[in-house]
Amino acid sequence: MKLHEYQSKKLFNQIGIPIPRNKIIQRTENVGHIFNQFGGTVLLKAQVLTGGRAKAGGIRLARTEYEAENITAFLLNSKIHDHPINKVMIEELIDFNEGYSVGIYFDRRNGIPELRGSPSTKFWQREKTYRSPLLDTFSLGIDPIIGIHTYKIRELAVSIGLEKRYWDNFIFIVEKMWDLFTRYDALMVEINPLAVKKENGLIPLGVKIEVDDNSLFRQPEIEEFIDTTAYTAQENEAHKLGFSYLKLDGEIGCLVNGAGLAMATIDMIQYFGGHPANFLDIGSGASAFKAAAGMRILSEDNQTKVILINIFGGLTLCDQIAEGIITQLESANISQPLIVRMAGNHSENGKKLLEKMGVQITDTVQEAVRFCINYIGGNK
Amino acid sequence: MSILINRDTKVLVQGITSELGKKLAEKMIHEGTNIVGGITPGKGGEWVLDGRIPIFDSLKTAIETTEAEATIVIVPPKSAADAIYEGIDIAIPLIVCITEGLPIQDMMRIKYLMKEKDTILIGPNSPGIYSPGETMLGIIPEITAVKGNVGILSRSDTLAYEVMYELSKYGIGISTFIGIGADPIIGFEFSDLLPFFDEDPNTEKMILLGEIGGEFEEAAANYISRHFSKPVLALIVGKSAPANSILGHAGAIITNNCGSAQRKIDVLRDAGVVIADTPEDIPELIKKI
Repeated sequence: MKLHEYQSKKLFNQIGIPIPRNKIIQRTENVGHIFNQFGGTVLLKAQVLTGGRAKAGGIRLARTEYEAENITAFLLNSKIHDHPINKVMIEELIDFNEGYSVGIYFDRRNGIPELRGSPSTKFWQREKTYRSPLLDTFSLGIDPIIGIHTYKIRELAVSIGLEKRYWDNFIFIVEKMWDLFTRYDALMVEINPLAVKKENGLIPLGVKIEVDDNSLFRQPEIEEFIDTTAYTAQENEAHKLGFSYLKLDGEIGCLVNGAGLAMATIDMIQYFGGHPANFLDIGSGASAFKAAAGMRILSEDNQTKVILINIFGGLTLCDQIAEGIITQLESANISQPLIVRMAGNHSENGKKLLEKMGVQITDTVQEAVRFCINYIGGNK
Repeated sequence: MSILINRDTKVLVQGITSELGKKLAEKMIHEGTNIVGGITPGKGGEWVLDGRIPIFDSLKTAIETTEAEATIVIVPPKSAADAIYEGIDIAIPLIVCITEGLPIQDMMRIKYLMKEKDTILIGPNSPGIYSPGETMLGIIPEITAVKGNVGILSRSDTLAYEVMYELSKYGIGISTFIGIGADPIIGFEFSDLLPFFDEDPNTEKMILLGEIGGEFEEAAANYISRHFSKPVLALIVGKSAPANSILGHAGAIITNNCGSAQRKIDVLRDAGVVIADTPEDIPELIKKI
């Protein structure tokens, strides 16, 4: 789970890492007052969970009170990459010379946390060489049991060319970042840029935190950060039911039990020339209720033109899924045609129930996929 | 004979008194697994499953009494790491962890600790180990898999069931199936388990069921090209996945061009592995290799 900038900064502030002063607003009323409080000239930052925010015009400079009010009003009425802007951060502008980057990340390849940093672009200008910042990333593994050693942080400071007088400041910040990483079950704690202020000292300007979804049961503070407005109705509904759901851009809606089988199903759709409308895994051991809810999520998506249900009965019993499908067919007006493929535990019984309802059934996934593709082809 | 376990292996169940724990213990006994006890702290001295299985307060006392060599962890995510540490500390030879949803930082520490230990950890988020007609240590449902000479390693559970079902339609049977788990950090990976199948006299051919995310398949390809003596077939799912989105399994995510299906397919093919495009192609292909 990615946190909003204002949420990440709140955690930075709480753990004792100094950050620029900021205020979060949802209406334009107080903007003038805050503008003056911060001594004029502020940054206005749209709080959206999407990349490329600055490029899309989500980070703006305001030099006057009037500008600040106008831009804020504009941002609060806009979207960035389809994400509505519900909150804007007003942040004091920091005068700085150069910016480094430093972060602690979950390194999947080695299964351990990793400390990574990059020199500032200014540093390379000083050395009169140009290199891509990505090539100049330095990384050091962290012992997940013992934690981060001070000497390693110092090693990184040397590698990224940070002046000696900032080392203690840098060590202080990185040690606190490690505290954040472990305390909040983070997968990423990043500062970019870590600015060297004109009047001396380091200060994080941009920060990012991503938290492990699996840890939310022991992270009540983070759980409260979940922003349901950042997701579609279908995504929120799926999340509540414990499904994993992902919207894709095709027309064939699919409902499958188990993630591996669901991936195989959307792959087959693509392999035979179709386009999946979504990925939906209703989990293993799903009930009739969940099958019905899953069908509702698919049918309510206007992009779905035909529905494919692929169930392999293991812990999940096919006849229970059939009952769920029937309930949904009887209670809702489902406009899309439906095809069901069932195999495994209780599949004979499940198929019988569906046949009685006149639902199309196939024995293989391939047949079901071809049915959907032909249907789409015939309706274009 | 099966890999890692057989009918005589004495098995403990951590979390045996929950509804799920009881149900699964019953199922495993039915499949021929030698369950000798269960662990639920606070309920030591009691008996479950009609008084057939004793409960212990700790893994330590359970092992002292029963001399068990394997344990299956069926406890909620918040206690799963502790249950695994208990097994590692007492050096039980085999732990199978079924639990889905273990925090990644818990697994980072467990995996790091395991480097210096001899315990074999399968999972977490694994369906377990299964040899049809022999033994089952996990949550694998009664499916129509038959005994045979094809070994299967899979990250996904349902995909493996589907494949076993497809194979059984053609009369092709399984020697041992191991679900390695669908999480980003797991105990034993494909490359750690392939040597067991290479040595197993009952396995003649091997199927790898991989998916997007991580580098387990790449490591497997590396091992296969250098050491593995038997023919291998692989199916990689998630070919149609967009980048940076988790597809159901916590581990199934493509990030920074790393973990894509195409890359995995390429390196496996280079290692001499036959690639199946869909699950339904597998029976025909496995006959040919």
